[in-house]
Amino acid sequence: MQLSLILLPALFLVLLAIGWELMARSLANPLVPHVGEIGSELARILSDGSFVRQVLVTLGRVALGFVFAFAVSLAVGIAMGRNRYVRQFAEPAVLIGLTVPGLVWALLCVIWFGISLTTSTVAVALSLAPPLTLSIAQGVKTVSAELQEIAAVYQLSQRARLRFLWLPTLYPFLLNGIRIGLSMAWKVIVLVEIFGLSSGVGYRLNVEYSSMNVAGVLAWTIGFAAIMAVLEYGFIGGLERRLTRWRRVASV
Amino acid sequence: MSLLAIENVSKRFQSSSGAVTALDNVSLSLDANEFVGIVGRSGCGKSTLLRLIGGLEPEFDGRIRFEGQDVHAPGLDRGIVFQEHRLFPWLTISQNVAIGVHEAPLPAAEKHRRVAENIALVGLEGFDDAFPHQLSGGMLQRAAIARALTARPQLLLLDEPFGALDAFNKIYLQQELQRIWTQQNIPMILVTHDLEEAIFLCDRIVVLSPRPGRIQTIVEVDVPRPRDRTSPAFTAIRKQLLEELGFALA
Repeated sequence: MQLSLILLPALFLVLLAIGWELMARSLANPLVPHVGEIGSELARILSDGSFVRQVLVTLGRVALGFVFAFAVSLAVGIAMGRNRYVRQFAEPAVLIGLTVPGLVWALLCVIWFGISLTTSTVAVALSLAPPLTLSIAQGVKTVSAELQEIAAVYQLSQRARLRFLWLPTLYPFLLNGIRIGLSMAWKVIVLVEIFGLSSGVGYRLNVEYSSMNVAGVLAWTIGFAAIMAVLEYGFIGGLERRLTRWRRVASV
Repeated sequence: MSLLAIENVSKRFQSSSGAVTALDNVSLSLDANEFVGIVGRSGCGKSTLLRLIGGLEPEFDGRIRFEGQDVHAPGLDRGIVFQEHRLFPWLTISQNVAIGVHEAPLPAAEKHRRVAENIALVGLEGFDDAFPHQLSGGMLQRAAIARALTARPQLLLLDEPFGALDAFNKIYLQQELQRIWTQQNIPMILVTHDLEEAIFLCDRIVVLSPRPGRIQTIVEVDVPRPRDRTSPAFTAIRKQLLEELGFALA
């Protein structure tokens, strides 16, 4: 079972590469590069250090926006979940946030804030906060009334309630919100970098695009996607496995 | 002076179809070391009465005093066990039991000792590190009782604690509860719809009549412990209770 976990995704990737190569050979078009060309382009950006440098710049921007979005979402989400009036008031903001395309946030932030750290931070925060807020607000509603009575009976302090009741209930919702939010944040940050910034993965994509280097565009895309997958499955998945360990302990 | 004094207590709930009187002018007192049962048909307000004593329903008419103090909020002096175990699913059994002393001003070693002592008292040694979903319903109720006792309450309130258990587990836990009551010298109030359970455990059984909940009668169980469920004295009380509850016997 463990072996199939690695072998089957690997089989898919190999088949994808073979299919691509067949397509590239039959089309014989410079706009559809061979697997070998994409590979050597990937090797070039990895070996000259530019990939790591630019990815770190992009990740830093996402992290900054993420911190802001997380703080705001936690406060607003808990308030929405606990108070009907706050929820009714803030609901349109969340809905607008969810429906406005990330592309629009990226454009507006570049127009308003120009080439600055504010642009990327605000754009990422704006695309991350709505799904995170919604997820937290829904999670707060699932906090068990019966366990809240237990907290009252044993006179638990606010800190103990947060630790024993609120956070354990919210973990799955937080992780889910972070997951959806991050998948949106990646798209927005690349757009912001394409439109208005002079560093980062999006900027490099734009440069390769301008010089009609399709192999370069694909190499940057593949590399970036790989980093995202590692973050998603490795980091967030690992966090999830840790936080929900109690569920998977075998029954006696 | 009695440990618990309930004086002319009434409780109304607002519902969509108007106000419902759950309890009407109930007065009752409890002495130290007493085991009192409350029985009645569903909707007679027996759980409401227990929740009022526990301080979980702040709004009511009348007066409830515990050790001379007015009751209007939960307190560590009154432990409560519900029909559902209400353990935190993400905490182990010993962490759950430790919730009972989490806010107590005690050194960590003393808390630890009390947790271990009460886990042993309810017979759950060896299951300290298990999570609730790994244990059976009866074991979880025992853990809930251990959590309540760890806080060293002056009174233990039991709201149909064995209502969801199978017949054999029920009888076993009733015997265990009697042992704990004898060992710990702690007064208990048991709400139940199981007459046999009430007669087996209690000194006095309060019969509530439904809508509005009023005290219909109080039956003394003057049978020496441990009680034989099939003895004539036991069955006679059972018959008396059934008649009080309106089940005429042929």
